[in-house]
Amino acid sequence: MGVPIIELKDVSVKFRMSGGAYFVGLESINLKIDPGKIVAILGPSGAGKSTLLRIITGLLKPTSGSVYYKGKLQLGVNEHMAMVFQNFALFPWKTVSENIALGIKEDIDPEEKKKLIANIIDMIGLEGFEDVYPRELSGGMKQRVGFARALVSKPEVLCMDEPFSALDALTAENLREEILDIWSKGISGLTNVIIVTHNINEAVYMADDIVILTSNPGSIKAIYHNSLPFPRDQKSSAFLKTVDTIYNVLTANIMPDIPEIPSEKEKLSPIPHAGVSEIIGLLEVLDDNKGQLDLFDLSDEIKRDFGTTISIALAAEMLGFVETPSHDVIFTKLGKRFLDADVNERKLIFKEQILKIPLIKIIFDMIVKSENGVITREELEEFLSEKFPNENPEELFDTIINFAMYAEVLDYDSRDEEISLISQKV
Amino acid sequence: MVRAIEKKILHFSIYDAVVVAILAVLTWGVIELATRWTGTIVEQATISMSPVALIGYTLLSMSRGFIAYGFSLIFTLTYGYAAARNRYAERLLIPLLDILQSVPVLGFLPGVLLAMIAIFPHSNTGLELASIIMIFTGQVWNMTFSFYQSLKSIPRDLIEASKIYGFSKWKIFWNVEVPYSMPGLVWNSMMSMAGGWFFLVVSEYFSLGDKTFILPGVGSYMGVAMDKGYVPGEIYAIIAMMLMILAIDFFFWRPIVAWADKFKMDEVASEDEPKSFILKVLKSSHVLMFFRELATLKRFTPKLRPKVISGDYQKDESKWGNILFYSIVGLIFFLGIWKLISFFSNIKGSEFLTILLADGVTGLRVYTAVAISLWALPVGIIIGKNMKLSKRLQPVVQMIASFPAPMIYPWFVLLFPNLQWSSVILMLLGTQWYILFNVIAGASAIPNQLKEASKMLKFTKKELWLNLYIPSVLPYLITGMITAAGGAWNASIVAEYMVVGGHTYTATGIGYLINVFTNNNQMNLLALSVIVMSMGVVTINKLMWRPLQRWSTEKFKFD
Repeated sequence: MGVPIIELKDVSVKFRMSGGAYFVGLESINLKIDPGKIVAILGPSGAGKSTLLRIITGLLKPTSGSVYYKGKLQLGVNEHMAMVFQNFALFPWKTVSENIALGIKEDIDPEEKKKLIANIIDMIGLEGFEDVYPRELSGGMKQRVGFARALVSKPEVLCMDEPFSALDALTAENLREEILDIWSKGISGLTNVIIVTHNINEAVYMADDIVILTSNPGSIKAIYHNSLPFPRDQKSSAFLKTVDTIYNVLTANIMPDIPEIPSEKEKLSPIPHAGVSEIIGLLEVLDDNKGQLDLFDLSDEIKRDFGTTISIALAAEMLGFVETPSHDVIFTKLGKRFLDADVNERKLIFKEQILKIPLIKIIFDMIVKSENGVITREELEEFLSEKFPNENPEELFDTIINFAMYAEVLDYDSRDEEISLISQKV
Repeated sequence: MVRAIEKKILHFSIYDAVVVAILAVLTWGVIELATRWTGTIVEQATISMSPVALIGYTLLSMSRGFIAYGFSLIFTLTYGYAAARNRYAERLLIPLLDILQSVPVLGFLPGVLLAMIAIFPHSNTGLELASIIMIFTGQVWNMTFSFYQSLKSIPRDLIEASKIYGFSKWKIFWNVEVPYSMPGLVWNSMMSMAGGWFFLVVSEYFSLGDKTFILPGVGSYMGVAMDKGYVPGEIYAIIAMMLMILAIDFFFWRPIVAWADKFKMDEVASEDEPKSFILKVLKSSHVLMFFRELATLKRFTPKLRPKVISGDYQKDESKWGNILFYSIVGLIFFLGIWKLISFFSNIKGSEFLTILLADGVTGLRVYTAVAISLWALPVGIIIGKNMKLSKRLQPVVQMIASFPAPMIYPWFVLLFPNLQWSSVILMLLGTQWYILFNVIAGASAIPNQLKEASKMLKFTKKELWLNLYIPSVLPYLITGMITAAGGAWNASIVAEYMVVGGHTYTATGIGYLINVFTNNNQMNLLALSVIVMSMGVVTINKLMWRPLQRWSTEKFKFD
């Protein structure tokens, strides 16, 4: 235990948007990281993981709150940390050796430098590539150079921002193991590794502590202490159980079982980003699986990543086609009826359901009350960004319009960018 | 479809009033222009110094710029298409384009002027056309190059999709090829028009031998004001020129750039979408909406003609075709050289030497100017790496680069009468902005992750500049220097020989010689000088600049 090596006290990050509004990236983050740990920062896209890492390294200054390193207040970029980037951030006009040499900060003579570089090249597996330019390297090799450059600077904390996201699965797998290997052998001076990821498996495989972030606004949902012994087997039941637990933590926040307390005014919530054909596809997959599937399996079946699957499931839930207890997705009777109906009946059902959604009702109202039965795209996007400052108004607009056009409830002229009610005659 | 028109036909708004007013003004303008063109020839128009008259002159200058742009556009679409789609044409047209791009165009002004007057001896058309052709040559080359390069890099799947849908060549051109090239075309058009003003101003007030040709325009207004020493007039002219550039940017380019945003090949919407008030006006006008819908109605019925997909997009070459092609080209080339030699047969060796030496002196000046312009490297980096600064300053720099420097040359000459040295400053004035502009563009394109990596690697200021900033902008710097050098060569023709307030200022150099030969009607010496100048520029380009550019792009550009 002892003094935490990194401490964040009540850190908030706000970004100023065009038009004067504020977007809250991170809110009231309190975090302590103990020495000797690999810490993963895990969360869906947009939760603020990369922002948090940049706060920790000092690349970004918090709007409020403070960051402490080894008990002292941190101002500016931390000199004892090194960073590995998602897109490698190599200098195209320098060779592998020259890129790595950039990491050497101490004033040592060229002979020493050469030795240091040769050592690290040996450790990371880049022998023979010393005088090669980055454009001639594969993604995996480029990231090795990234690691080498970071490690050669003898950091106390190694930070990695989605370091394996830009690599193919096999290469990523390989590199992960090698990094863990290097860590277990110990590197003098290196006390911590912090890795940002959206991949639960990766977090469970690599980390001792997993900081789980949620979005809207970005904050720490929970910190999971991973006590699985190394080396970790991704197929072992203990491993899978851990992944499942973390899933539950994530989904419990995103898809709450506790019903929202109905208030006087119906709570206005945005429609999750999903397409009509994706929702229909989800229903079909459910149908093939006796009307019920766990989110993990569903994500596999429809071949979408986890975040997207949740969006589609929530959208389907909003329309009343499925229910989502804990982390399952189950057909409702209406959903089955929808799937079995023909094209026209489907549109009628869709129309009925969509008109029950409070957001759609309000938009309808806007159009009816408007000047010539028409509102512009600009007006609607402004309204959406006002009501939902943490959502992307353009994406939300697209989702709403696609739903409404499928249901034949709204008409959209994309050249003049105007939305109107569909008139009754054809 | 029917429903849409029914709804809108009877609605009018303020936007319609604006659009109708604009259309009315344009129609009046075209009629006035046509009247002027067909009027009897006036070689030396009388220029009134009144500011009111200046408005008319500015509009006339603007008309020349736009007509030249129209010609440039047509040329771009045909020449670029031919070069991109026909292998034989490509082999001839692209090297030719490269030469044309490098050649200092101003040297040809006398020849073009005389030719046009010979063709249209009685109306003003000849004079106007001469000016327009000069502006055209200042605008067209890099537009054509850009279009050619866009055509060559159209993604295969777009072409294949259009073939499967049975598109005719015409349809592919307007529905696939032109839209894909639109972003590059728009950007280069803006730069080209800016470059064209240089030639406009010079061609409106021009001496040929003992004759002086004056076309009514803002450039000639300035020239006459200078002659008379009428300082308020000089200030009015500069203000008029700046207003004209600003107006064209706001009323013409901004809407086009905003409209052309829909042609960008990005999959994701960018947060910085260009906006234009004028575009909004045009889009909101119901009158225009009505005509738009009428137009799309007609084109709506698809022609389903399943076409057999013919093998490869580019036809195979035949050996005999090649031989025939090269023989014809070779023949024409030799005939041309033969003609030239006989034309130059009575030029003495000493005269030739003088021309060569003069070219050398001017060359020294050009490269001194380019070297001095390197101040733009650090300044451009400082501006470019700061996003807020660059957003605010880039349009300003663009405007300054558009302003035709020859307009204010006479002021500088009066300050620094020793033209041997001050001509370098004159060249600088016009061209240093291109370097600044390009460096800013390069510095603003540095990837964020690299900047962050540099922070994490704790670069000192010196390391930051040497390892990140300067290498990243190197390709852009070189492009800027090539443009700047070209501009300086052109400027030498104006900068080495100036007549201000009755006094003639000169400097040794090939620009000076070109002016002298023109005045003395020594056509063959003039032609030789222009050719020597052109060949010099082309040689330096081929031997130094292009390889340098290729090297820097390979080594330093981010992919």
